Amino acid sequence: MDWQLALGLGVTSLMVLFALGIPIFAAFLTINVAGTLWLMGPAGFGMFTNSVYNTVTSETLSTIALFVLMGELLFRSGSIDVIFDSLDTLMGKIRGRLYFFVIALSTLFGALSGSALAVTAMLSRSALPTMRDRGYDEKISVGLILGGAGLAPIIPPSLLVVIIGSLVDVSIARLLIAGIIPGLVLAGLFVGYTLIRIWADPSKAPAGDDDHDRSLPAILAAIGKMLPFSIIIFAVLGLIMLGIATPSESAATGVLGAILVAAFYGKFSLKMSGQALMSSLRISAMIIAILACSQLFSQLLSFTGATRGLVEAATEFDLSPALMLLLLMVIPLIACMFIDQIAFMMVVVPIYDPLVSLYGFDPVWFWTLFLINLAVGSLTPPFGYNLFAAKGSAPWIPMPSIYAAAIPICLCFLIGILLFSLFPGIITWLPGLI
Amino acid sequence: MSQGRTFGAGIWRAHDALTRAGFLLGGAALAGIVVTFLIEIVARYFFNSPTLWSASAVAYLLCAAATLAMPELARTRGHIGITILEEKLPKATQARFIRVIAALTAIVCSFAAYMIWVEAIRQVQSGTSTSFAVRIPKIWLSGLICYGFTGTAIYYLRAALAPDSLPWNADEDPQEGL
Repeated sequence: MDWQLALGLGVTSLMVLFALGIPIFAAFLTINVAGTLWLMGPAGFGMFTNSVYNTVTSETLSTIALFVLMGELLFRSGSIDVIFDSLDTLMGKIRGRLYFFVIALSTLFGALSGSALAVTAMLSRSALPTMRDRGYDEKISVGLILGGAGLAPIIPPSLLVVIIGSLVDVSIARLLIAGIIPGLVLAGLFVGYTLIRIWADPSKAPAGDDDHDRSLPAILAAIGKMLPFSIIIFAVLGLIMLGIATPSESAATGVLGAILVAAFYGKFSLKMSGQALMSSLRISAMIIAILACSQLFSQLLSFTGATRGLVEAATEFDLSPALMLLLLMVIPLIACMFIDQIAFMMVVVPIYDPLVSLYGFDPVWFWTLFLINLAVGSLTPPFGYNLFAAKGSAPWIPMPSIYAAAIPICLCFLIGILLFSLFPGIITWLPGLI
Repeated sequence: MSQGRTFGAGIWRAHDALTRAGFLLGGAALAGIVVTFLIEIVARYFFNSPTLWSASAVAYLLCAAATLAMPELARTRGHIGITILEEKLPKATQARFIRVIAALTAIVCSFAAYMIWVEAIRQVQSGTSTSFAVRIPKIWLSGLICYGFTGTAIYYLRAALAPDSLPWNADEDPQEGL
């Protein structure tokens, strides 16, 4: 069978199954079971079983479970509230302070949880009603929450980075570290966007909307309260950067750090930690089930000759690296408006991987750019997942308003992507140090 | 008739209890992964004596955690899907549609379980063991994987044939594990 036909049939069938609403793991399973029987018959049973076995025994994937557990411990214990209160105190008395507060908060929460959906839902429930009551513009507020939450998969720890790292031959540690500067640059772009909006229409930012105590002792107390979180940041990022721990081990020390922080604030309990453990098991088992059931897809692509055929076709087209990069980046941007990020990654990463090698793109730079594109897709109207998380958590806001709020933030992301494409050093400098 | 229904409910309860027990064991396995990594770090950096068993233990515990949790995910509809089409359907059609999708999922999971079972039998016959530092018969892990797919298949079958036996439409919070 032609590789074009096999690839087209495989990808189209997957899309149809996704659209029908079959659970994502089962959609992949259907294609892989059918593909195995069609191409190899019963002789392929071993290959199928081994693909599942290799995934569920992969040490790399334990990182996913541990990062989720770390975030669950912090959120369920209420330790995260300390950051909320301390940042609120530290944020100076500036015009539109809550806009900047939300950007800082979502960036920090992203760094502690790694889940955009969790950050969107939490800030939409906690910060948004306060901003509405104080007369802040709802569209700008929702947009900033979406944008800030969109940084979660980019700033480490990021589950999506671990998944990419498990699929392609690239250092997960470098890939994790690579997200730090782009994440901060994007947060800076959100700040710039907010300043422009306030400058253009000062009524969008109510003045004097808080009466916090900002005496020196209060500020020092706020900083002091946040210090224990540096244990977690050191346990995760510090140990990786110092070369002391692998990403999986640093995730485990991050879990220990989260327990110590919760205990420090007197918020640790066995019941809470049990709930966090079982909840993180649900989330991580769901992700691992998708990965286990989709692993064979890339092997089947190779088996049908699609991987080699794609590389040959790309060579024949002789596209310039810039054009190829544009093509490879536009696809996830559009596709992730409609498809779940993990499902999409499992389809395209095996297809992209040989092209990345063929064109000689720096893998850390390329996959970080790819990840940022996925993040934009998840908040781009009409189907970005985060938009629905915002709607679910703030049901009083009409969906068209959420769409309108997301568009300028998507533009900020696109400006960021352009910057990172033109100046790869923004991404590659920090991981180059380890 | 009612006796048959009581018998059916008893079977479902037993299946749910088995799934719940498996899920709790999966939680214990996840906790075990954390402890194993911490032991490895302490042994390596404080005693300059890395363990030989930790990588194997993490692999086996992850396999146990992921596969033992799979049926519980199916029981509580915890596997994600893109449900936009389903949500657009009228209520009556939606219920039938969900049952058809569940039936399709049950079929594919059953077949996957069958493929793994056939391979597991081959592993027993050939005495295949794992390739980690601490070797165990591979059938132990294949058995866990087979359990995960079989349990999942049964829950989707229940969703297709006896949807009232599952909490799919209840307002309970499936995130609260304990």
